[in-house]
Amino acid sequence: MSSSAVASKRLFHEYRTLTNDPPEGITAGPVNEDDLFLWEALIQGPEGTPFEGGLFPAELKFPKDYPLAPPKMKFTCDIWHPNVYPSGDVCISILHPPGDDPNHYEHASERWSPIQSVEKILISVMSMLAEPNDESPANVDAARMWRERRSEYEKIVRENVRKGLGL
Amino acid sequence: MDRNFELPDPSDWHDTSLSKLERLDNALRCQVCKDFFDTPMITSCSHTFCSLCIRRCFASDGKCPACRASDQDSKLRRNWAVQELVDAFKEARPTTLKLARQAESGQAERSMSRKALKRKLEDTDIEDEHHENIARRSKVRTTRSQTKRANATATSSQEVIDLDTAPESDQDYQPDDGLVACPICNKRMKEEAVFQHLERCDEEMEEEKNGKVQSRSTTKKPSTSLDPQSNQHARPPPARISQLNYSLLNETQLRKKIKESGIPNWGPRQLLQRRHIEWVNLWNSNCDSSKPRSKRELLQELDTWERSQGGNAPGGFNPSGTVSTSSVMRKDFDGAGWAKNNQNQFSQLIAEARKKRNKPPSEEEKKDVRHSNINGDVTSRTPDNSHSLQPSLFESSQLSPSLVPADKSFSDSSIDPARPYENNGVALASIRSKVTNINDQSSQSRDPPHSELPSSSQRSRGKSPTVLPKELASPPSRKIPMFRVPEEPLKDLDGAGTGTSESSLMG
Repeated sequence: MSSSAVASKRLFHEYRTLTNDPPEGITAGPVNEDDLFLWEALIQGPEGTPFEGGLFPAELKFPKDYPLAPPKMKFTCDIWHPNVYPSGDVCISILHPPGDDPNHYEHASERWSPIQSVEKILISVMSMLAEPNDESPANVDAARMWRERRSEYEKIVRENVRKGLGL
Repeated sequence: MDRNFELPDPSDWHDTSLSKLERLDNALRCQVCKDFFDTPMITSCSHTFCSLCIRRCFASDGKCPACRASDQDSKLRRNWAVQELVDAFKEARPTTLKLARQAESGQAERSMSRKALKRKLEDTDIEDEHHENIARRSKVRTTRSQTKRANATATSSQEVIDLDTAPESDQDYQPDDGLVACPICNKRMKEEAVFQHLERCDEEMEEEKNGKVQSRSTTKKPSTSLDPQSNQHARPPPARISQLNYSLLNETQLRKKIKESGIPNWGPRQLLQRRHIEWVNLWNSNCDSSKPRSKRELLQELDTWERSQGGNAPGGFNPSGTVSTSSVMRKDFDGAGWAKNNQNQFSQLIAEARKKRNKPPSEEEKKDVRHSNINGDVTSRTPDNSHSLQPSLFESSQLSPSLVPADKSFSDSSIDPARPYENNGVALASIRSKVTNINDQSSQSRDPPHSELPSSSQRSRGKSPTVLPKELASPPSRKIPMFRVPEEPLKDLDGAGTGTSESSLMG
């Protein structure tokens, strides 16, 4: 069985599991069943946070050697968060392969490993929304605002939530 | 292959009367590939994975995927018990699942006698086994022993159990012992042993005749080959090979080494290295397997790898992160989509080109330049990617061919890899048509005023703003003074990340 067959098969398994037994607040699946290497996901804003009530679409791109290498995740909506680049790319340790740690702050145990899964990534991202990690800001402005002017930060987040819902 | 085929998954048990089997089903799967263990190996940190999966993981970062302890493949040991569990579970699964899905009447459960279970199994064969059989039968060169192996696959799990009680040297006919007879000398042995035995069968008979058999080491006795463990010592299967110390070899040496190991040695150095690593993993995991396959089959696997991740990969896996050039050559290459996705870049290039010239060149002039570039590229690429076109015929969809590697690989084994286009009128024609297509598209994308550009620039003015400003997009723009040009495109570059085509470039 070639690696890419392994990747397709494994993605199919993950898709089935997520469809049959979805975790709360998370929906994910291939954009098109012809291409299992591009997924879209919807994440609900966690309750009790300014993201509450929001629905955040994201895109997951899987490498051909998945699960050896992690996918890339990118929000396709406006999101103001210390760990999300202005482009929407998500910066979170579970999406980083254990090999390279340019910042030397992440524990190897938090990083990507082939036994991680889409489900675990999305759950981690959900908890990242609730608790930003400002040690490694991807969006420096958002991180500073989160640290120093929390109410302003929350206001922007809520505005984005409303915008995202078309209100 | 049917896209909606049933891939056995632990969640199958969900909402059935036996939903607790979901955990068992999950426990018998490798957490790397999420499939049932195939030749399970246990690491020194006591985690179990498929042989090929864990070898690939070790080759990639040298750590156990479960606990991240450093480990190496030489420390892997087979986990026969898990193999038996998996075999037994896979055998019972289809029937059990069917029953579990039926109404939970006691009647259904009572009918699950062992006999019914066995009969069912023949009908609802597990997919993987089914493919294995197909692959074996369809091999060009099929020996009798191989056919027997294929036929015996279904009973293989039984054999392992029977082995310990098997008589020492059994010459009698025993149809149900799970063993197979050597087609030449009729000695009965474990199916895996037959293939190796065949090579020496003549030799052994000769020796027996000459009465020399006593002086030979005991390892040659077929009786010892009945035990899987001692079989390993007695007659080791093809020896495992090790990774090369790639950094110590220069490219010529590496190419030579790779040629010696019997795998293709074309392509740049990095590809050579990756190909060799994959080959070592395939080879060594095959050595671990209780049902080793022939080198020919392994080479076919490697060929499949080549087309999905190696030098013939369709437009994806490339260390530099760019789309590999071979994808442009593919038959189903989405030229229109490509032009659309890269429209921003095209427009920028056009804008820059215009900036550099005081006076814009005539339409004809530019067209000529572009044509000659493209043609030059195509012809120079062709030899390097000589494999790319042919395989693409089998890869019109991602999923189906990759799940049936055997089918795919043997079907194109007839092609001479050195000159894939010879006698291939279709391929040649498609190359030509692609060249003209690309030419057409490039002239289209430079000819924007009537269709796409203005509308898309209006639509996404705020969001993906690198679209050419209106003034530039339409021909009259050339009359606009040049000092106005740089403002908008430059200002907008920061926001380019929101465009999908940029995503791969952003860390």
